[in-house]
Amino acid sequence: MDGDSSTTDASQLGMSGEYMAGSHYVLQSQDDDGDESLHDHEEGNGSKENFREQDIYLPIANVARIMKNAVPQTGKIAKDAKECVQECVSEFISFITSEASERCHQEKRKTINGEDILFAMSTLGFDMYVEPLKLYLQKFREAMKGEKGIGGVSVTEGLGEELTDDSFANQLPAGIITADGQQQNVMVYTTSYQQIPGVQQIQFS
Amino acid sequence: MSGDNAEDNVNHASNSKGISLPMTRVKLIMKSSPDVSSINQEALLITTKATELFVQYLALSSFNNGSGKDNKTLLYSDLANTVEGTETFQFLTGNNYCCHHHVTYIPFSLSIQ
Repeated sequence: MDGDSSTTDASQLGMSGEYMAGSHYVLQSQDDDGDESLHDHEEGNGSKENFREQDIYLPIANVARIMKNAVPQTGKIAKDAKECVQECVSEFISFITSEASERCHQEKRKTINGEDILFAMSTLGFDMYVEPLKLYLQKFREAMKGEKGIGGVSVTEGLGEELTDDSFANQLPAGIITADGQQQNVMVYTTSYQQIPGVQQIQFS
Repeated sequence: MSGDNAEDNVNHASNSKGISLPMTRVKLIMKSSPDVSSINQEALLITTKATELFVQYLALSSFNNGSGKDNKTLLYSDLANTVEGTETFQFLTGNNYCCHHHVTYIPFSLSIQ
């Protein structure tokens, strides 16, 4: 494989023809407004019924933005690297979900909850995420309670105001383990909330 | 699914909560796994947040380990190298079938050609 190639030829990416459903591999334009598209790698297929699970991706603009913020400021990211991570992300989500789902079934439950996800992460080698995620979840629960009082289930405009963007600005990354093995400080929030007991389970499917 | 008010609110919340990924899309991917019936909001929230962390981790590890150190560009090959060399990322190579649900799935291979 040519390391400095900037092409996104499917063969270079090591993908078989069968993997890409139907149409040929399409290069994506730089100014991506494809957030509406499920399949950022393909044209034309707007129908949700025809997808296979491996064809659903998160929008590449979002993925690329997170990558950009993660690497040093002067760093750039090759186009095929963005697309690669975009696909890895779908793999990751499916990977975690399958494991969580299995645990759910074993315990005769139908709904995957937060604990299932955390357990799956811990089992699958992402235990370094568990504590930051627990912290994040705790803050989320407290924020929901604080805004709506007893029994509130929806996230309102008011909540959006309370949790301003400033509260979260530059709080990512949290719990990142750098290549040299050192773990950055876990910093999920700077805003402090009162500890409010109780868990609010909101279910939808 | 898209007409669900609670879900719209959650999606709005995701923008004001320091999450930069669309939760409805994450949910779609989650639900495409076999045998998944329903997912509660916390599970969706955690998964979305974890996905952000995953992207950061993968990008930064690959950048630091790869040729990006010199010419400051994260390349596909950097990702491939990092995935090959990191135990946690083995699920991405297709060499290690941890997910037995995906029996007919052709894995996305990042093995070096």
